[in-house]
Amino acid sequence: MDCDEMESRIVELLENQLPRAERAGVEMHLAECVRCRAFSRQLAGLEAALARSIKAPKLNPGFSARLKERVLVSETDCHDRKQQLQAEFETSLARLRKKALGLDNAWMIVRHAAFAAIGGWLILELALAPGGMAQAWVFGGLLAAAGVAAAFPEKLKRLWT
Amino acid sequence: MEIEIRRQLEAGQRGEAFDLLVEHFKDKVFGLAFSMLRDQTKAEDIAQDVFLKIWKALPGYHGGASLSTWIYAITRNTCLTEIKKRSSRPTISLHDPAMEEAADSIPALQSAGGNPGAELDVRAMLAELPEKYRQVIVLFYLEQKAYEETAAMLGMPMGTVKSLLFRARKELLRIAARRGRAELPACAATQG
Repeated sequence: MDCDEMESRIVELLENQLPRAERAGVEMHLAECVRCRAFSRQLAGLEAALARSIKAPKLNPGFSARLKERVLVSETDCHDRKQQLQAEFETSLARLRKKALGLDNAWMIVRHAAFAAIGGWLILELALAPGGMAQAWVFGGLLAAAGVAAAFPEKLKRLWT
Repeated sequence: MEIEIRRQLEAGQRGEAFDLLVEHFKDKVFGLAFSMLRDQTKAEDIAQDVFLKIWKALPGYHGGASLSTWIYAITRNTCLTEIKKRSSRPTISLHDPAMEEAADSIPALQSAGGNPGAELDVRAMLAELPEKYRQVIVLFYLEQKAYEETAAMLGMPMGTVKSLLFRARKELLRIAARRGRAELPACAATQG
């Protein structure tokens, strides 16, 4: 085994991780090889310097308390956001309903206007025909009743039941 | 500990599970963040962000990966995002006196026995190391030279960690030689 290959064994030896069976061989090589002995000494020095210098930094003692506060704020934010989204949803829904209602109203006005125009024209035709005045009154009455029923179906249903 | 946390999660005790998890992992998460960011204050802020993410994701954790693997992955990703953010900002020179002072205030790089010379050398040597070597060597010593834990925190196989550590040490020896200290202070055990 050459010196380059020996270096990783030396690391393991310094860390007490070298299998017992290989230990004697590496120690024998170290006794004979000046280069590897220097490497081993330098490595041991480096290990000591690193172990002395790299110390675990201490966490701020208030770490957990600060984290709890942040979790609480995040939960509150989450709750507030939920409420905000719910409110936005309801506002949008109300706006859509209003819009739909507006369209419904317009359509209802058109229907009623057409109904009144056709009805009025028929009554006029009947009234102008010879002897048709009575028929025009009857037809006009029926038409008015149908108009009221179409305009207030809910009230009519309530009256019926 | 992981079993206890999982048991509490299954029982729907999210708050209790989270408290246990924070107590068990806060130093590890902080250490990992510190090894990646080199800034104690930033590492603490990132550790806070990591636990906040964990709190939000906890209801969706069904134990697919081990809890520690999951937590370390979140920590690494959060740190990488922070590093990316930093790299898009204007950089500050490490030789700036204010930065030197800030670095000297980091306990991880201070001497325990008040021997600033030797410690400063180690700090300067670490700063010269390529990032992948620097991170693994800092974390290895923060974790009291535990290969398994270092590998778990970095999400790497143990063989890769060993190989990176070996190359990092050789690089540090090269840096030391270049800086004019052909021989580092020898360990008492190997002297003679």
